Amino acid sequence: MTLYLVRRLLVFIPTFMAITLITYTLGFYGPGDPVRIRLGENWHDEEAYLALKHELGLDRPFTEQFADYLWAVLQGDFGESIYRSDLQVGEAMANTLPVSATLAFASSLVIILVGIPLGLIAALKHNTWIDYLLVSITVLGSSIPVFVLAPIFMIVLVLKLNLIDKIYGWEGLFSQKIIMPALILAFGPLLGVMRLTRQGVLEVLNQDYVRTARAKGLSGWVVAIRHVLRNAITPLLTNMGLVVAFLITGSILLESIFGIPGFGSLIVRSLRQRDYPILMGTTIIGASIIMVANLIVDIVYVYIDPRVSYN
Amino acid sequence: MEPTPQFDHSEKWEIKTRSLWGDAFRRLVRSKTALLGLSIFLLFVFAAIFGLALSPYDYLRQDLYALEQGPSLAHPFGTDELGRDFLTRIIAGARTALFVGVFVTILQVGCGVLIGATAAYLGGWIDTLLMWTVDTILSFPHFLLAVFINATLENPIEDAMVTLAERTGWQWVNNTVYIDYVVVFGALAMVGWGPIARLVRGQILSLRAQDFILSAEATGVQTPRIVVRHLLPNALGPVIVAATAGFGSIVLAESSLSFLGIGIQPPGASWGAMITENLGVWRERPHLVAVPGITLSIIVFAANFLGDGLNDALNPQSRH
Amino acid sequence: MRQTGKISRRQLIQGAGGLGLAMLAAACAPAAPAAPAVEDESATAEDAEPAPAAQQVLTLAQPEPFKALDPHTMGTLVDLHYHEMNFSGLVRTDANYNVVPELAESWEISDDLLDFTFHLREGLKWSDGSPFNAKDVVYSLNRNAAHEDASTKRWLANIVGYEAVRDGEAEAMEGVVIIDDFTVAITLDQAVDLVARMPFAAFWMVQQANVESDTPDDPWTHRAVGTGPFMIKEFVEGQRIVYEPNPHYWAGPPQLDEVVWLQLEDKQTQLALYENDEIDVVELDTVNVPRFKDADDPELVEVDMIWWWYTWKKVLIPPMDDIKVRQAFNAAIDRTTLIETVLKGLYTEAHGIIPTSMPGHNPNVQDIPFNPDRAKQLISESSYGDVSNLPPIKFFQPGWSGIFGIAPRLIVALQQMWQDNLGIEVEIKVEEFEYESAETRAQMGINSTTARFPDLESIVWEMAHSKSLRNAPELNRWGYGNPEVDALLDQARYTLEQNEKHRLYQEAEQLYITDAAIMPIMFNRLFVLVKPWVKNFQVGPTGTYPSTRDVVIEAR
Repeated sequence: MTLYLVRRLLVFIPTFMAITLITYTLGFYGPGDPVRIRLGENWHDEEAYLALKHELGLDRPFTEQFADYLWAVLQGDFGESIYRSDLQVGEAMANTLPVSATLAFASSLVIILVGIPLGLIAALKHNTWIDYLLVSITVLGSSIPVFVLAPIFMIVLVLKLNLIDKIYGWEGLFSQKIIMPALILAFGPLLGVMRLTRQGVLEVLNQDYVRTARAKGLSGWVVAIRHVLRNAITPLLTNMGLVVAFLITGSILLESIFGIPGFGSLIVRSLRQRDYPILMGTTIIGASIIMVANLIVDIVYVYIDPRVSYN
Repeated sequence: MEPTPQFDHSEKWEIKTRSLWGDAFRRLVRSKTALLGLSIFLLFVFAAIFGLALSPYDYLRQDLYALEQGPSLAHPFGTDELGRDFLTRIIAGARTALFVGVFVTILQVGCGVLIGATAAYLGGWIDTLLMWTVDTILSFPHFLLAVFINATLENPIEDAMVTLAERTGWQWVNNTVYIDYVVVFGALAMVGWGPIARLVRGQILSLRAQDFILSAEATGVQTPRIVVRHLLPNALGPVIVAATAGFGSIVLAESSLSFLGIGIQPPGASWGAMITENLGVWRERPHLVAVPGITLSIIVFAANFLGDGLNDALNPQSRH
Repeated sequence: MRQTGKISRRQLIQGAGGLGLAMLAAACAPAAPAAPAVEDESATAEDAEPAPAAQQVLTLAQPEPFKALDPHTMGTLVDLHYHEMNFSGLVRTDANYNVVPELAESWEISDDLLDFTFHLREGLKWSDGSPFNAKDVVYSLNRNAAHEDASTKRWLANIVGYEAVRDGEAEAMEGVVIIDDFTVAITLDQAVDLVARMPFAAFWMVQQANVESDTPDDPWTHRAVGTGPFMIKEFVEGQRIVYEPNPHYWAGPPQLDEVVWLQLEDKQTQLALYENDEIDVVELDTVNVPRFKDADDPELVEVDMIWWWYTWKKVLIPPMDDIKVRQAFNAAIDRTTLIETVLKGLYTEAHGIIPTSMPGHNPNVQDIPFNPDRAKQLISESSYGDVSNLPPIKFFQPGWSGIFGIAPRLIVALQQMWQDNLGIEVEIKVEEFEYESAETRAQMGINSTTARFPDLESIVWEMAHSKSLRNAPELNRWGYGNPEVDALLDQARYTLEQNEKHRLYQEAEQLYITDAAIMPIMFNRLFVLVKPWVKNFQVGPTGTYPSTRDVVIEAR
């Protein structure tokens, strides 16, 4: 198993390099010339152009520049923002990631604390109206993107029901303001988690040992908690990477609506300012987060499901 | 001259295929949810193709003396901030969604099938490399990558189009509206072909182990012929399911890009862009935000229902 | 009854939300890595919230992202909001755009209008307590002249020796001389109204030791030492900049204990925060103005800006090289309707470029009137003869116009009018302003500009002179140049008698408008909501808040 983990970690390295390469290539050939952008009003000056290009090391071959970038990235240096000369890309990300992580943390709690119980209920009430209702909600709800949910929640909860008044801005985990974005962000994955739990529990409920337990007269809930939940959690874990991806996408679309100074807002702002170094950094970091999530899933999987063999 | 056994197999399979599709269709229309999905989807396709011709308004036509009107008989969804009929804008948004959805699906399926089949059939290091590429692309957060590609591709694509227009004299190429579409197509297709490739590869590998392929191979039928005549038709079912389900997420992704202001540019119509444009007045005129949002959700949901229905219809054994 | 029900339900939800999160937090606190930082934030936010009059905190939100905190590299208008907090110059402008003394107590101008002598106040100190004297003035001006960023330093031109320092041939400008510790002499090579230029950030003071301590990881601007009324207390990247009073400010430290600038530029978010009493001032987005204006909201403040909106054309690029085509494009636009409908009648229609609130405004300037028939006729009179012979027209829309701003719909409305009245389909291209190729591709675009300093030079000369950076053909910008206009502008620039100067500038403005290099659209007006407990707050004519130093917060 150690061998498996080592191998798994080793695959991580070329994949990370490939991700950086793809991002760097797109950022290198895609947008306008960074040297001209830096020259500003003197951009037509060929002599200054060549001088600055040389100074920035941009007249060297692509591979050499990429190697430099990769090396710098490994040391946590993602370069400088084009838009603001006093801003390091790494610093901008380090300042916004904790905010998004806090929001994602709050959303994950909602996903787990609401999604799993609902899935359990649906499975235990299999083929009753409760099950049908919950299943139809998952199918309907998972089609609604966050930027549609946000105004709908705003119209219903703020305008019609008058339930929440402080919805914009950011004051950290312990404030009323996190409720709305956390709920909206949790909505889609929550339904997915519910569906997975239901499916997992249904499968286990049909296993012999559970049938025996039920026949022995243990109530449905006790069985559910003792035997079922542990086995049903496996498919949940395998899909953690998807949930993380969803949270990242959601934060891009959601944070700017609610004025949350997180990773998503940074991306949207850089997009508007065409700040490519920041966009490159956020893309690499976003991909790395998902890779790490998948890695953790694989490792935890080994401990949770002893049936899996790794040879 | 081709060996006879191959024809036998092929004909036998043709018959089986026909009955498979017939069964599938019967199962599809029997499922109520799938039928609902199919009806909404057909309505959407109809509106997208014929809606603009049927509407008394032009989706770009502004009436500065009829700005921001509420819903009325003349304008069932009112008018927007430039006095354009909002229902017509929504229909134009459907056309954009259909256009992007169909094109990107074709691109994704095309790339996916080509790469998946190549990987499965050639095997060895090519297979390893291709599948590793798929894994790498899948480890990007899809939407983030699409955003990044969209932002970086815009200028190179525009340059290419301008050059093309100059070389060929086709001035219509050099038009921002088409460029927006091409950029969105490219970005979404580039991030989405991976799962299809993986699926096709899996299907082909499992089919290859089956008798009729083994015998065809044994009788010396050429590889491309086996792939085209036997393997692809049999892998088609799951691909159709995946493509239908993928259609919903493509429509969603296009709207999301436009919501961020990097997809379809004004005055083109996209549901995502409509939400952005009107988010500033969600208190005063909530319907301008709600209508495009709900329409978008319904289409995505219809595509998902249809995908589920097709899945049940084409792979009956997968049903619980 | 209904009211109580509503309140209790709301409280219930709030309580439940709080309780739920508190429980979650209790369960998971040790596991949450982000927790300390977050607690920190909420603590500060709570401190700021109750704010009785005893606690003087003014909370503001930036109208758009700032670009540079260095006063010598001004990028956007919002940068000035930050610069005026902790930097200052020898003179400044008050809320009515009059030049008033700041670090210089008085000044003398020689008869030939070339020699300026500034007398500094005595006992001036930097915000770190070190003394400020004439050599700091000399350092600041030379530093800007040699600065790599060209955005502000060009206003130092006309000081003797500027070019040599700009080109790196000299360390210091010959024209800036220390007379004694408290006296600086500046010599010009040509007579311009230097004092009118001096309120601009290009002339503001920076401290040598501070600037030279700059490192990429710890930029000096985040801990700047200045001579302005405030100084930076806390800089939280991407979230806020907190200022505290400068204890060494020459006029005594301001009454406010803190000014908090939130880096949160979304106008809808800002409005919601304002309505929750979380920020004290908000600039309204056009779409939201009617809600407050129709209700005669007492918190609504309207200020006419020295800020003009226009569409520009690149007069060297076909088809804009033909004056008839340019005039046709202007004649096809019905500005009155545009302002009445799309802009909700909130702004003043512009016929020229000198705003109504600027001394020297000409109410009689004659622009190209709206006339669709004349527009078509102008096209047929042009060298192109017919619209079908025109090359495709691309219209540049700056990326900064934002997702909720008025510019996108204004542009789409303009596009429709050109389509209707000329039969020309104009393509819109959204790009960031800095991105040179965008301007290469577009022959026209939209822009809005504010005056940099209270002199018509910063309006008419800047827009219309062929030597202005806006027109430099080698920069591939607008490329406008008319020898007659240049002559008038050069004459006006070196005329100090106000009436004569205004007359010359107005004459140049008229020629510029007739040449149709631009089409004026409107003069901007800011609609700002200010909480009733914020006293002495004023919005300056360029959109900055020049009286923040005098603000007092009253008990709510």
